[in-house]
Amino acid sequence: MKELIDASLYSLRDKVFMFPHGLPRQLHSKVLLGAFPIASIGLPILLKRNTYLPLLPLGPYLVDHCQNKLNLPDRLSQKLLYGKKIKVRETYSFEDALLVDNSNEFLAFLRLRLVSKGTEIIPVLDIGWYLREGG
Amino acid sequence: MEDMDLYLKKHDEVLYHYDIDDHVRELARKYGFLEYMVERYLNIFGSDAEIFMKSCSAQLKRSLRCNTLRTDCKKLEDRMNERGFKLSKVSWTRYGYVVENTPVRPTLGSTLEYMKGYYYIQGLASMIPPEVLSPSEDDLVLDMAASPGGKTSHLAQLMGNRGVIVALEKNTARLRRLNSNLARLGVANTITVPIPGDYVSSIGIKFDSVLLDSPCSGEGLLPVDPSRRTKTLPQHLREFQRVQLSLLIAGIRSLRKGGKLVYSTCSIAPEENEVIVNFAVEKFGLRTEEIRGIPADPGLVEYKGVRFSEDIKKCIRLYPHKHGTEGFFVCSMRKE
Repeated sequence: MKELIDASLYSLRDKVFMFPHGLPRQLHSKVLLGAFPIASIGLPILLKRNTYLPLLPLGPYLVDHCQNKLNLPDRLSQKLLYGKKIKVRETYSFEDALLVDNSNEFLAFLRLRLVSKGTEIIPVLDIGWYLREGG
Repeated sequence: MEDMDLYLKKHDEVLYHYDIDDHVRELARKYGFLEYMVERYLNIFGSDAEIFMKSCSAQLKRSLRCNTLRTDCKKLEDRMNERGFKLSKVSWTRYGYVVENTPVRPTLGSTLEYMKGYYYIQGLASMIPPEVLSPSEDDLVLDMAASPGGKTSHLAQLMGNRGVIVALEKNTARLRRLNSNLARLGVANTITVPIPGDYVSSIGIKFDSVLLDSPCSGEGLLPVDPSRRTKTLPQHLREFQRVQLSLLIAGIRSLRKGGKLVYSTCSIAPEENEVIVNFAVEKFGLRTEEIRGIPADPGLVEYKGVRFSEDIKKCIRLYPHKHGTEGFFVCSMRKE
């Protein structure tokens, strides 16, 4: 998290990027002036929509600082990593959560919805995306 | 560019003249290569030409690079072992492993560890250029043809995500793939720039280190892609040469004095390798540097009667039949 706090942030089109140690001065001014086209600067961490939405590279930074985490049995996690929603009998007091594995490593951002007899768990963005659409 | 045209024209007649006799025709039929390619292999390998062509039918072992931006290599070995993969460390690369055993499921490219960015699936020879370039943590590095990001991410790993890498990729689909791989692998010190490599002067800065892993015919990938036995014609080699020289010139001009440039291809064609780097030595006065610790053959100083600078001996060539890797060429040069 210290790396995130100390990083320089750049807003480019619809994303916010994190560049950990800052750019050298001559490059920094060229970037700010738009002297050449740029597709990305460091890690993309937020997507700008009506609000700011987290992107996958932000996930590992959040696991040690977020309370709302789910560690599910493998067969359920696998479904979520295919981008598919699941239903469980448990209910939760929160609507957004991180999916983590047994080693507390980040797997997905989740949305939780109360339904009859349980909770619908929807993967908002999961690391399976890298296989499905990452290229 | 006049220099470039004259240089290419000087050797064109010799390099692109082929003596096709019955022996060449017989070997071409036997191994399924175009005749001009066989003639070239006889020139490059002599009596080992058949051994080389036979090796192009043998599958190479799969390999991967442990990504220390996301994990440590011992943890990766243990995790993969639990999944049924057996990894063995390759002594001449810092982070490279051969995959000795694979389970039925999951595949190497669909494990959780892959998705988490713990490793990158990559040929062993492809791991050489970033380690030869060996950038320091404070360097400003240019990667001139970056997609899909294997070497870019390796550079970032060697730099500990410090310094800056400017990674160029002009093609939209390839840029998307590059950005996705960099995000997956946790590469945070890289700016991706959608311009062709020969436009790099428009960025207006000088770099400490330049990696040019150049577009090429991919002749070194014959074991991986058998269609390459008949896909590339001499005219294609000529076209690649122009692209490679143009990129090399742009790279040299963007390099600061005293900086290092590594040129590499996944090709064994002297037309795409020694001919190209010889231009850098002869016309720009770049000095080649020895590459140590890697089992490889030296660069050629003569091909089809065309002599190159003795300096080119310090470049390296890798072959499937001798080194167990994809065919590859690497040359390290210093701008004085």
